[in-house]
Amino acid sequence: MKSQTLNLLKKEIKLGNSTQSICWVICCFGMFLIPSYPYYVGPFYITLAIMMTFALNQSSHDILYTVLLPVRKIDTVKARFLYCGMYEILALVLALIGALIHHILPYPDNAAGINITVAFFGLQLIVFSAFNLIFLGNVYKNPLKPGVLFMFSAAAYLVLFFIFEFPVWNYWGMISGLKKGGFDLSWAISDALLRRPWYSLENIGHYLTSTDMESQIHQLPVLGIGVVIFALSWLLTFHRAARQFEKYDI
Amino acid sequence: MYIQYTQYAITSDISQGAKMNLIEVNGLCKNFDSFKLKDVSFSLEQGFIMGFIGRNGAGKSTTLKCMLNLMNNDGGSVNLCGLSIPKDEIEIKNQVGYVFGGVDFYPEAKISRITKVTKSFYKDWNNELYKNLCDRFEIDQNKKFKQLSAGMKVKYSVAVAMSHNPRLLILDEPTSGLDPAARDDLVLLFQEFIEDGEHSILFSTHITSDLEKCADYITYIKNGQILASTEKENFRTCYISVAGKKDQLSTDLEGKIIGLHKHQLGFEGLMKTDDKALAEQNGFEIASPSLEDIMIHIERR
Repeated sequence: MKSQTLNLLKKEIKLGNSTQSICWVICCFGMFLIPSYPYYVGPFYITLAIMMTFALNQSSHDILYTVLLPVRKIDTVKARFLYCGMYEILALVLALIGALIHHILPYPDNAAGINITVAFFGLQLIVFSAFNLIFLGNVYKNPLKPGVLFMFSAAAYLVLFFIFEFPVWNYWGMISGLKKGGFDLSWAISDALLRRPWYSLENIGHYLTSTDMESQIHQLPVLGIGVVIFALSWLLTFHRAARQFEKYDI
Repeated sequence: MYIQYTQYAITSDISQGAKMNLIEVNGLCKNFDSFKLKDVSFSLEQGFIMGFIGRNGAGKSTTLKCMLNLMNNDGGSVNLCGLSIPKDEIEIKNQVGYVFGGVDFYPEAKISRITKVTKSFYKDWNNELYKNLCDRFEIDQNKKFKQLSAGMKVKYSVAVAMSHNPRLLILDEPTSGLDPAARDDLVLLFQEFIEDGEHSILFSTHITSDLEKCADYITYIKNGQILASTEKENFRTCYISVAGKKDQLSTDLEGKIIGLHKHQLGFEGLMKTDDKALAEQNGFEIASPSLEDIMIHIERR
């Protein structure tokens, strides 16, 4: 990393929206501590922190201050991307801490959505990728007006949230139906899943939310796909944003 | 307190006594839907202050932003300190200091924090000069930016702009909204800055009285076009203020008077000095105009 990019990253932390962002980070972490909760909601607070970082540009004249420094425009975009990426990775670290707490205490199975599993991390990276493509990939057309763009990117976040939770909800729905039967539940679950094709929503939900070690190892491909999509979208979004900022008249 | 500014490594041109142009703008164009910057050209030699004047919306800030690559040019070239924009942008930003009046950078941040971050970007930051300037202007490092008065904010911005040892200062309306004492402090500082003959200032403003005190050159912009770019005295001597009674006016004469204003007692306006004989023949009262007089009459519709 070139020294000016590092200096710009330090500038983002020292003069940017860090104080407010910490509040969003605390909210994010708090969500992972709630038993039975849709855990994609926690990282959504991180997207709010990212949006507010741009929103506060207007009152702090951050863009003007930054471009007057002896730095290239592309470096200012790179530093901002690193800053936003740092928060997104932080959300995953907080989720990991949440998962450890769930394991130690222990928490009951999450009936409101996916457990904090290996698959959750992969899917959350895909959700962040969509957010980044829409928000960070367009915000440099006019970095002083992030509001409308955030609405679109938040909508995309919520759509993916529902798509990824839907199989898990189906799985939990099946279980709650079986519970009413009053027989050996673990046998009934296995039997019910075997009667369905592997690609049924219930089976996919079971695959994504299972927390035992063997299942989590089987979920590694989801994490891998998430990492690849996140990395590719990151590069694509960065180059798109850098081009937009080069054309932007301050 | 007199502050000595660090002199940069002198180029071979200067060591032989030749002065170089710190600003060379040639045919600069920028097109917006409702406004165009048309073929803006001017230059400024080292050791001088140039006042860049024109009414609000004339294109002063757009010109400065195009010069600093904050806006993409639609034509023309800009050379600052012998380097060209955008090719040498980073080196230029090390050698040029900027102040944008009325812009509050990071209002919630402490002065000391803003300075600490800012200085990390410059290779020639002069901490002693910064401290001297802050002492001179009594800038409290522990205050938040928003807690400074309007005058203090500008003084702080000027102190930061000067502390990385720039050869050229570009100031966009730095004195707007300041009281006369604060403006005078700054004007004195600007004069000290150029005293060694190595530094220059481009000073955009519509407060022409500041330029009367310190400017050597005037560049006048109107509707995105440069009307004049010359020595201040040349610019002033191009025009004469005229006044008289209504019956002294004729249709031909009205065409020669710039910004003609008729009132109950007569008229007043501005004429080109070339037409002075005509004014004398018709018995007009003639006076030497101030920059403000010239600007008012040129801009009068």
